[in-house]
Amino acid sequence: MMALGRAFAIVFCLIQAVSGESGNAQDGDLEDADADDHSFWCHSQLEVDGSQHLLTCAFNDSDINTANLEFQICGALLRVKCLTLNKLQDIYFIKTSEFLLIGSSNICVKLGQKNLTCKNMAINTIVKAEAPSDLKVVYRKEANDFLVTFNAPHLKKKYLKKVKHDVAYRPARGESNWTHVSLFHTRTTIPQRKLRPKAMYEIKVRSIPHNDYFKGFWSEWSPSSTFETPEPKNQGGWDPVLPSVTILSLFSVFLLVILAHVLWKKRIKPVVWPSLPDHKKTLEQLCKKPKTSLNVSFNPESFLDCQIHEVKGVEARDEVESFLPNDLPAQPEELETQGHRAAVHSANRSPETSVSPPETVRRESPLRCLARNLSTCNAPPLLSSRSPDYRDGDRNRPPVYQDLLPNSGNTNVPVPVPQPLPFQSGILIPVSQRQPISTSSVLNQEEAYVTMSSFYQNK
Amino acid sequence: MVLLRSLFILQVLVRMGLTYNFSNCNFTSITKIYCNIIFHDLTGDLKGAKFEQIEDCESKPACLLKIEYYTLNPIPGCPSLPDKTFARRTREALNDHCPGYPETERNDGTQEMAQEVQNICLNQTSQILRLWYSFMQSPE
Repeated sequence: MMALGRAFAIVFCLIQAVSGESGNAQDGDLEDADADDHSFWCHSQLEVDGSQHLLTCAFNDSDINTANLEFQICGALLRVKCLTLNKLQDIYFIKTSEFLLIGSSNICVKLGQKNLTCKNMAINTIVKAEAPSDLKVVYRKEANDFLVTFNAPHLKKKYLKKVKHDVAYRPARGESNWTHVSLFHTRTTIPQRKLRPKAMYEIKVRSIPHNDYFKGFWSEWSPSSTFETPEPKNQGGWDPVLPSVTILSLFSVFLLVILAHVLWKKRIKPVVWPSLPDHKKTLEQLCKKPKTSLNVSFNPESFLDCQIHEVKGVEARDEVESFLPNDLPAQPEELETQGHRAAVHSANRSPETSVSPPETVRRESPLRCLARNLSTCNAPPLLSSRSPDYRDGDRNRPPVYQDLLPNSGNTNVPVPVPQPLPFQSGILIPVSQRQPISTSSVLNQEEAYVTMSSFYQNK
Repeated sequence: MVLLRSLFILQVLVRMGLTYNFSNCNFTSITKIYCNIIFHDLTGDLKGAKFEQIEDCESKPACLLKIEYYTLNPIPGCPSLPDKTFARRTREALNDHCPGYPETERNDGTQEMAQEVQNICLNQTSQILRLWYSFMQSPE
């Protein structure tokens, strides 16, 4: 029963549809021969007057005799089936709120009751936007640009709010091309650098629907406005601040570079990159330089003038020694012991020799001796310390090589053996201590200094 | 004539037993129509009036079913509701984008519905607007 009922309902609906109740039926016949002659265009404008919309149509061929022709729109209307457009010279229009804005309408050119040509159009797809108004251009000196503002009537409308604007400007004189700027807001800026200085410009704006449902055409251009660009800054005024700051900065940088270059070695580099002291230079500063250049020779004959004594033993002594003269006070007991020992040595070696106090020692002979044979008298720096008052000119007084081992092979040339430190074996004997033992075989301090420098020279 | 009348009555009776399935509607197109046209009509009629929501729906087809029912059927106190602009446009949207949507004449309403009560109309309009909100937020 239900299936039969459905079938009857469907058949009845079809009958109703065919009977033309929907209002979407095509009216009239198309005259192919007249279709091309009476081709036309239409566009709609929404809410031009409150809730009323405007439909405007016209023939493409303006020479057509439109005396008995009229336009009719049927379908997609709220409460009526068809509406006839009004005629104003060659333009046909109608202002109504009856547009459904949904679906397509059939717009036909009628000659009497005969349809000459028809077109299916959806009112929401042929929307022509309304032209903007109140176009203004203001120069902003602080921003170096021109602020462009205008009013868009669509902002106040109910259905079509979103439109795209096109601002066009060009120099007023000449036939330059228009420069276009697209935007969705009612204000924009034109940077001054894009414009010619001291020139008059013309500007205008138009709109087009930008919506996923309403589509259509560009509006008419707004009334043009003009604005003038200011003169260039160089001619009119001079801003001294920026160039002065720039020049001062450059000069300061240049001065800093020069100062850095001049003071680099002496002041800056030692602070930034301190270097380790050169031990040679440091030592040379401590030691006296030899007065004369020394000739090195290993010829035994050159040692004839030197007093060479065999060292038979080395005695350890606990003494605090230093290189500098008169640093430590003399210890009489030790010094006496040393002096006695030295005297013994010297007595064994050459009885005729006598130990004279260091004051009587002459300076020249040790230098001469050292000049001839550095290896003999060139004890390692750590091994000997001398009193500056020691005068080794006394050949009778044997030197004290307290760190030297006995050399049985060559008694005339004691071989100096380097010892690590002076503090243990009495290698370095304070000068002040040595003075009472001036008769001991202590190397002349002068000789030691000379020896050291010669050592480095040899190196 | 008798046969046609009988068929008409039969159609009405059968139609009363049928409910359209809105599952096949083009929800995208209906959404565009609602956002750009029907919504502005509803809010224009309400003019800021607010009423408590009574009806709700959980899916787009269910929402359209209720929207269609409340929009296109007169109620006591608001017989002109189906003739309002938003109602006509709702019907047109369903006609264009719901295949097979039955386009039928509806009753003008009984004499009891003839009296127009503004608040009733506004309340009904508010309920319809809420149903459209639910439609926008509901899954297909």
